[in-house]
Amino acid sequence: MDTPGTTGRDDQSAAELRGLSRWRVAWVLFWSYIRITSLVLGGGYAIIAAAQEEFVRRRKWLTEDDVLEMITVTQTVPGILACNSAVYVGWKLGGLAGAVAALAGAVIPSLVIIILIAAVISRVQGFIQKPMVRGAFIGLIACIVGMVLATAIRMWKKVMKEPFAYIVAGCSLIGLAVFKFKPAWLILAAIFVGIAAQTATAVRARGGREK
Amino acid sequence: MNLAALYLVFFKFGLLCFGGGYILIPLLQSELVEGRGVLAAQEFADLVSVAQVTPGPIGINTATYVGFTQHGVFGAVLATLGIVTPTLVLVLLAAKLLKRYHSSVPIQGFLRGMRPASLGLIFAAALIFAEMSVFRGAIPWLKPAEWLAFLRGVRIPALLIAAGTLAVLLKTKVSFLYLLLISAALGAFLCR
Repeated sequence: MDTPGTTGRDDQSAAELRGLSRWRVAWVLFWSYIRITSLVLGGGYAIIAAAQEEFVRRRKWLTEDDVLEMITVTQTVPGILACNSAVYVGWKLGGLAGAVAALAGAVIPSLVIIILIAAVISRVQGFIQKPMVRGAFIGLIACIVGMVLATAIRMWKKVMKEPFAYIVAGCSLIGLAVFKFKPAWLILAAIFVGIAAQTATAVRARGGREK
Repeated sequence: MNLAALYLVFFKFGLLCFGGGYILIPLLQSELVEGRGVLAAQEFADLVSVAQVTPGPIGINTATYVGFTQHGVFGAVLATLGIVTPTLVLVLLAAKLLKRYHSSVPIQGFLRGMRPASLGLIFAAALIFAEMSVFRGAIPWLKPAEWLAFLRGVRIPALLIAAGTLAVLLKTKVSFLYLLLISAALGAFLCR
C-alpha cells in the first residue's frame, strides 16, 4: 500500500521508479490500464482523469505538470484520446515497452467486452426492437447529447480566444451539419487556414519590428 | 468490405480523429453509413449507444464493434489495430517534436486552426446524437417549409433529459455514470 509520508514527492517518485526494472514498470502500466478501461465509462476525458488518479495521486509516479504536458500532446495528435494519453504516460514512465504495455492495457478490455456484447446483440435483435428497450436507448443517447455539449462548453474558453477561432468553428459546424462535407476535409482545411493565418501574423509582426 | 480495406479505413480514422473519439461519430457516418453503405442507419444507432454505455475508450469500442459486424472476432482485432497504429507512432513523435518546436510558426498555426475546427465538429457530433434521440431523423436545414412539422416531432422527454444532463454536468460533480443509468430508465418509460 502507499506510504503515508508526503515529504519530497518528486524525490520519492523518482526513487520508487529507479528501484524498478523497465519490465516491472511496463507490467504495472499494463494492469493499471486494464483496470481503468474495464471500469471507466465515457471514454477520453474520464479515462485521463482516472489515469491521473492512479499515477499522480496514488502511485506518485507523475506530477501535475507531467499531466498538463500529457494533455497538450494528447490533444495535438490525432487518435483516440484515451489511447494517446496511455501511450504518452507509458513512454514517459517506461520507454517504448511502457508505451506498448499501456496501449495494450487500454485496448484489451474494450475488445473483449464489445465482442461479447456484439455477439449477443446479433442474437437478440427481437429484444432490441422492444419499445421499452428502444426508449432506454433514446434516453441514453439524449443523455450523451448533454455530455458532449458539456465537453464542448468546457473546451470553449480554452479555444475561442479570437474572432478567427469563431469563424473556423462556425464553418466546420455548418459545413458538417448543414452541407454534410466530410469531416476529414474540414479538419485539413482548418489546419491549412490556421498555418496561413499564423504565417501572416508572423510576417506582420516582423514587418512592424523592422519599422 | 475486405480485411485490408477494414484495416486501412480505421488506420485513416486514427489519423483523422483530432480531439478524441467524438469526431469518429461524424467520420463513421459519412464514410461507412452514407459513403460505402456497409452499416445500416439502425446498426449505426445501436453501435453508438453500445459504444457509449460500455466502459473503455469510445473510439476503440466503435472500431471493435464495426470490425466485428464485418468479419467477426478477427475483424474486431484488425479494426482496433488499425485505429491505434497511427497513435503509437504519432504520440511518440509528437512528444519529442512538440517540446522542441512548440513556439514555431507552423506548429502554432496548426494548433490555431485545428482547435476551433475540432470544437465545431464536437458541436456537430452533439447534433448527430440529437437527431437519434431528441429529434425524429435528420434536421431539414435547407427546407424551411418542413421546419414546423419537424419541431412538432421533438421528443420532449428526451429534450429534458439532454438539458438536465448538461445542467448537472456543468454545475455539479455527480458522476455521469449515474446520469446514464437514470436517463436509460426515464427513456424506457417516457420515450417512444
